[in-house]
Amino acid sequence: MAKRSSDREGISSGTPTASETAGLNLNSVGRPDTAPGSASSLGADIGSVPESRGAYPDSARRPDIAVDAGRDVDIDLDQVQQQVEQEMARLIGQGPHAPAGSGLGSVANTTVVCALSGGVDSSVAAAFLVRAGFNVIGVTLQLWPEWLPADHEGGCCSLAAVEDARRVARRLGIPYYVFNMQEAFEDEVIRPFARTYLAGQTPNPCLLCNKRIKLGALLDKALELGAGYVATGHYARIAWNAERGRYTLRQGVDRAKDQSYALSLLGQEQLAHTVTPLGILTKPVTRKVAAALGLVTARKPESQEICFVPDNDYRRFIREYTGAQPSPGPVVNRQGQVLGEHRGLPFYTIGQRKGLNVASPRPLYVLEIDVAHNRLVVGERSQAECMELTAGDVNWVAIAGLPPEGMRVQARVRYRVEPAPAWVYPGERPDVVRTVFDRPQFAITPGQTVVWYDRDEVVGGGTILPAHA
Amino acid sequence: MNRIYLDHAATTPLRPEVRQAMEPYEVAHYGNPSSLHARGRAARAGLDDARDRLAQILGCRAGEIIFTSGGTEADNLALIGVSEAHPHQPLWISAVEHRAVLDAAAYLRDRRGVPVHEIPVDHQGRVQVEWVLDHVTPDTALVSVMYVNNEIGTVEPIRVLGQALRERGILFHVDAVQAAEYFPLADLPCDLLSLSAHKFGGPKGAGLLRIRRDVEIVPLLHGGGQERERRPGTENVAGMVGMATALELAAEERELAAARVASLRDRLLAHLRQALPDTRVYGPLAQADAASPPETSEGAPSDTSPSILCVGWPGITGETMVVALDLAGVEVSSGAACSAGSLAPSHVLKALGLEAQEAAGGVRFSLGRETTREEVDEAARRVIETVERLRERQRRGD
Repeated sequence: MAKRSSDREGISSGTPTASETAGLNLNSVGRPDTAPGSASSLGADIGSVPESRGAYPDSARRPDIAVDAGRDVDIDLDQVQQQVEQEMARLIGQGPHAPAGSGLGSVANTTVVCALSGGVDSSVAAAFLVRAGFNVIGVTLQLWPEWLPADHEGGCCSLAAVEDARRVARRLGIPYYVFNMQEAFEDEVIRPFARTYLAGQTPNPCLLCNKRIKLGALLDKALELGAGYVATGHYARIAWNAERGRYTLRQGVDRAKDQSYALSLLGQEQLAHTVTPLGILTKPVTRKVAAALGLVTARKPESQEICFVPDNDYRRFIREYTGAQPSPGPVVNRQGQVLGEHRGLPFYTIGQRKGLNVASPRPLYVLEIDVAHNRLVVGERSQAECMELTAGDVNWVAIAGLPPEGMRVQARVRYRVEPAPAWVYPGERPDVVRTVFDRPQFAITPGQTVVWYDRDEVVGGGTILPAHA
Repeated sequence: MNRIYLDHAATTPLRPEVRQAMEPYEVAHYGNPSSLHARGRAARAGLDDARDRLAQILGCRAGEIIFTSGGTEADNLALIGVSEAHPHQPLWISAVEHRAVLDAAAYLRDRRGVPVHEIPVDHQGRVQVEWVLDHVTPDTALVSVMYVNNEIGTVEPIRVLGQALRERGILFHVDAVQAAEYFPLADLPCDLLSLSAHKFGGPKGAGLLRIRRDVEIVPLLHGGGQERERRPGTENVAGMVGMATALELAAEERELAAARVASLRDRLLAHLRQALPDTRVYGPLAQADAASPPETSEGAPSDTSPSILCVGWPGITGETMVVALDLAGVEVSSGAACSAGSLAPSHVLKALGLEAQEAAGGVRFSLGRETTREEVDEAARRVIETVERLRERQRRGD
């Protein structure tokens, strides 16, 4: 068993610990000084307003974010911290979009806004940043419109989540705010989500939220406030690659938790300002770090559902939100034979088997949602398999553009499926690209995002277009 | 760098004299005022004394004062208590009331089927007496208009309105929570009046509803004979002693304190206007534009609070300003905080006729009796620097 981290100096005592590795220099700052009332304690220095550094009440009474000695935690917190800082050094202060004066040589002058969802991941991300010596500001976004119940548990901006996030910020001794982004969220995420459903496609609102809200509106606001970066608890790695002159996005080391997919629509400027401290961690380590630091979120369960859809009942949500009356129509097979009646197209998704309400000797799957004719096309599993897809709204990450001869990739057609070997080629129109798989893929779903990988690196992503488009 | 507190409309620091007056009731006279023994009598004495002193300042009888947990409870008791005694009779409330009044009225409307009508305000946030008299019907249960607006400082014409309503026999409630420190409270022509101690140097958790003797109300709480059965529960003795002491101090110092804080507020506004010519001012002070430079005005004009200044800058949201100023060590407010702690556009600024975007831009500075000239100058410097920095970023960003 590894040495228990609570024994180690430099954590509980707040002694500055030189950590000079891979361009990481913490000499000037060291670990945050955790002495109560200390003038140099973290949060007292906001680089953006050097003239007016106030001793925050937050930091004045800041509790020691020391290892909770009472817990049996078999990780070496110092070592983990060092690895995280090494990884962050690949992004912070690097590349053409690095904020002036930022860098790991001057962490105290680099302000990072950490998006706190009230969950364990973002809490631990904030803790690493605080321990690295950055000026960290904790922010929770209030995103749900007024008409959704505020006490709906589980989502990332429920009242309970705000309370947990506030406690974490308090524990870390950082200022904490709740930003109201209800309007932007409704405009940029909920409305497109509903619109896409009504168009017979299956949207992924989390990708939109990351692009438009967390690393859109929030990043704008963070920069406005003088911060250089927004940090999130995503399991993905972002770095500057000088050779290629690109900010790159790689899968998280914990492949089971990898969230590179959810960040794949970020542009270069967004990636340049997005810090993801958990990219090199596994979830169990994150939990252990949270426990070691005594964060209230250490044992919170995962939230998987779409945060603004109560009870994950998106059908009801679409109905109530849009007021669209479900309009029943025929269920047909590829030959056009009518097999039954559907309840309204927004209630179905490609590849769906259950709830089709059609009698058939063999299991049937949704093949196509034909909005133009209000028909649901069903067929056997093999018919739901496809060798290729076309994607629009393409965002290139690893490369500036697709070479005319195409590129060998592994393509992921939705969040939790394994990437499959494929070729990407320029499409027939300049604004689309084709993905041709080696083997047939099941249930390719228009509206979802296809993400292309080169080994563990995100090449780019795009929105899957309907087959007939 | 020191932090500068300019959010006195949210709450004020407890005055040392008040703390001193409260202490014996926290420590020695901890008895329950309802107990028959000596320790209970000592507590009762403190409570009676506090009530007498408050009645003196308010120009009412001691028995007309109901102690509450604060302004919100006092407002709720006024609206709901009167409405329950006069079921289904209409209520009229101004559009710029505090949420304690707005939400209590909304509750009565949505859950009790009470007709609730809104009294509009002019571009300075003031209700028009004539409009009210033209619209209220004789069956009205209650009219509620605040004394001083908590966001923009507008003083409402409660004397004229109260007199006219009294002549018509219509009950009138005044939320005087923001008025207590700088405005006279004696002999106001109203039937119910709400106060909250922590807005004038007293403790949190202490407030009162002054209610004229023959006004019938139904209590919100049930469970004991305290406060003549209109507000049962063991009394917050120390809190009430603190409230009485704080209000006495405020009353003694009122005119001087008002003149002093008004000149500081004018100084702050002059600084801001000079460095940032596009500073927008909301409320009655907006009129002082150009014509009468604020630095020449003396004392507190009677149409606005001497301590509240609500301003905005085009293109900058109140939320951003409050956070940026917090990071710069200046503590101010904007709009209304929701349960999660985020901000929504101000209903008060919307009631002035502003678009949602501008209504989300208001920043409230509220000065207090311990605010110094140096603090005002330094705060202005930080505000100007912050606005310029945000503007600079916008220029680069766009």
